[in-house]
Amino acid sequence: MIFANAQKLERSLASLLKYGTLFASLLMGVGVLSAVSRYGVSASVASSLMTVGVGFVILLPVCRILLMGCLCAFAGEYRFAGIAAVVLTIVAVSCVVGLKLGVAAA
Amino acid sequence: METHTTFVLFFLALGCSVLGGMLGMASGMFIVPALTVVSRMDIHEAIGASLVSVIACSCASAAPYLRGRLTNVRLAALLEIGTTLGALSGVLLVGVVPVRALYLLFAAILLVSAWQMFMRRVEPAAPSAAQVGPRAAALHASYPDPATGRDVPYAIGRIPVGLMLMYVAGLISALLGIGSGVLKIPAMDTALRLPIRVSTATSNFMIGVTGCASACAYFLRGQIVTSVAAPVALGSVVGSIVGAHILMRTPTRHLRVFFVAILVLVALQMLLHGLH
Repeated sequence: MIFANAQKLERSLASLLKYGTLFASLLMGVGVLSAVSRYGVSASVASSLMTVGVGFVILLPVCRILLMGCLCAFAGEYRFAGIAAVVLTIVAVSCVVGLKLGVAAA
Repeated sequence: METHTTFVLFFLALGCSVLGGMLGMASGMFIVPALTVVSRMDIHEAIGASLVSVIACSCASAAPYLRGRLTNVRLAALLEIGTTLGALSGVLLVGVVPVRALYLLFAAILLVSAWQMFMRRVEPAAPSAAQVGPRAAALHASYPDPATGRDVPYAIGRIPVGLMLMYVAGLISALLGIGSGVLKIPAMDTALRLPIRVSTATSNFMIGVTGCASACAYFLRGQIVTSVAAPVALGSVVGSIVGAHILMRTPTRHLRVFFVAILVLVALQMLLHGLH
């Protein structure tokens, strides 16, 4: 990978993770404070905010792999774009397995 | 959920994360025992909440390492194949492994961690020519040395062994809701022969994706209670920032024995839970 591309990749990933965590923490924080204070928003809205925040935290690494795969593909690093695609596929299979097992348990 | 319980969860996670941050470890190692032993929470619920907090802390602390050019992004992507496959296997085993076995496994991991802390890490020697495969060349990189201000090049050795150890790390992570640094560190030091600063940054970077592979499944199975996971994740993120600041200003060398004692005590507590 060309040095400039490597630095661009590292900077892009750093920004995504930093601002993504901030946004997710903000959502969870507002949700937790709303649930605790019991003023302003209803309990269901507070619960939804917490669920979206937690979901965002879980999806953040998926976004990171996606971004990495795209940047590598644009830079002509097809081997690493392929590796990112394999990792994404394994995460997707894990989701399907989790869903199937959840349905089976219910 | 009661206001009191939310505050307890937040401050419990904050305390665990400060402790983890001071040791340079992920907080999952303390959060699961704290939630199960102190809050008397179901271990699967605690593991789900811990996974969310582990991902949040990994993402929050990854940016400075990336900007400092300490993370080997390409190596991390390759090793994540091993950790996510391990996490997938862990997801399949979650309902099969008895709860008592989970407590005993946790105790064993804590004891290994205490041993690692007691022994201290030493900078590994560079891999020999025989240990570096021809395909590893694309993964070799360099990192900036703050002492000299120059880039230090490094080579990567024995990738297949590293991948196997990463598979086990992913499996343990999914089963116990921890970052599995305890297994990633020997993999990176002994098999891949990475410099300590690079292995710390790369291991932390990988924790998010490893945790995500199992957390997605837990979330879709309804085993992540968001009213528990949200305050725990928030407390962990705040605690990891505070812990990292304390780590930079405190000579933890003197506190090492104290931390080893804490790890052994928590291990004994988990052992007792597993045996009863």
